[in-house]
Amino acid sequence: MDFIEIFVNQIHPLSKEVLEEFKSIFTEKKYSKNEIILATGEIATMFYIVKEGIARSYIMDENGKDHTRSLFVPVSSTGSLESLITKKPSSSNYQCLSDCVLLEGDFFKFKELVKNHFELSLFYSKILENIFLIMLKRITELSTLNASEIYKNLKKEIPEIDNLIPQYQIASYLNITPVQLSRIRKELYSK
Amino acid sequence: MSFIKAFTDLYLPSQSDEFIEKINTIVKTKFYKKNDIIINLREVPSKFYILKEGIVRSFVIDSKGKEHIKTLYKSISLFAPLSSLITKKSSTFIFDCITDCEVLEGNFYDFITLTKSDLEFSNFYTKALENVYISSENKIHNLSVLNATERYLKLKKEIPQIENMIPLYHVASYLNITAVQLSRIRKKLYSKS
Repeated sequence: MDFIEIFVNQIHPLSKEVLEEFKSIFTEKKYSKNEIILATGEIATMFYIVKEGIARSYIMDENGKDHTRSLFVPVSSTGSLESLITKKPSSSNYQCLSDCVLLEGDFFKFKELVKNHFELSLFYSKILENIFLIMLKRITELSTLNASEIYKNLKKEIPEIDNLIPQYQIASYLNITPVQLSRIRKELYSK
Repeated sequence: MSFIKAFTDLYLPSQSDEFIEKINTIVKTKFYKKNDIIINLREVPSKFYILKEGIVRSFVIDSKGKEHIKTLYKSISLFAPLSSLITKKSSTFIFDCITDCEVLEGNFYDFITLTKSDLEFSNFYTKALENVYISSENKIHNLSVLNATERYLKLKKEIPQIENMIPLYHVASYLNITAVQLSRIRKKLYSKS
């Protein structure tokens, strides 16, 4: 089973004919570590499925400080869905934190297929539901947990995270300073 | 009916009259009083709600018994324990009324059945989910990028009267700060004038 079939089957099965049409909107692309996939201010036309590697979305504030918003690992979809939906410029940057292999999909072609195939409309709803569940988890984390607890969750989801991205970027994801993260790690690992 | 049209126009303008009529048949009007609980913990929910008047909040209770407000809804909005409706598990959020409220209540699963056979309903559901996505993105942005003062000012812009409606410790909870921190922020902001 190829990678797109794996992605599709975890969401909502498609008939053979529609699956082939869906596959046809993707191109496999390689990105190097730190390469920008989509920059703030650009209007997005593509969405991406992460096949290998880890990516993130982040914002630069007026002081030049970067704030990591979300992290993406295989098999997740990424890209500025907000920009794709509203056709307005992306408010975030999307970047590869390691060398990545991404499947780039043409969103406009996808929406055309959705219009012509009812099962893709149901498929799209299912993707949006899944994305929502992931986001809700992140929102609940950010509004009810402290940084140490969010860090523990992160380690559970992505155990190698400390080897994949620098500490200051993990701190940014937790919305704390690197010094605070250092204290948290010291406390966790000295036990 | 014109209220339903005003609601659907928020998501997908100019729906057919038949579509509006069908929505009308699956919802019914309900009135709640201030502090009434609309959706409780450990209930397996089945309804979605369109808020016509009033303010509703959703919150969780953490392991230490502390309340954390997740979202505040004002008219016209759609609210529902969506994650529980999707996973068919019991709600982890409580939805209650901060003021007297009027809502249109509908059965979510009846709606989903309609999406499977009616393209107009499927498209509407997709649009509603896209909107939920966008407001979730904004929430994550606010929580991970803005500082507490900025989040406070944003809240005041959306619901100016909020401090007259809920106690300050609830406002602090919504902003994910302590009551003391909120007090400091307000003192700093209001002593300038």
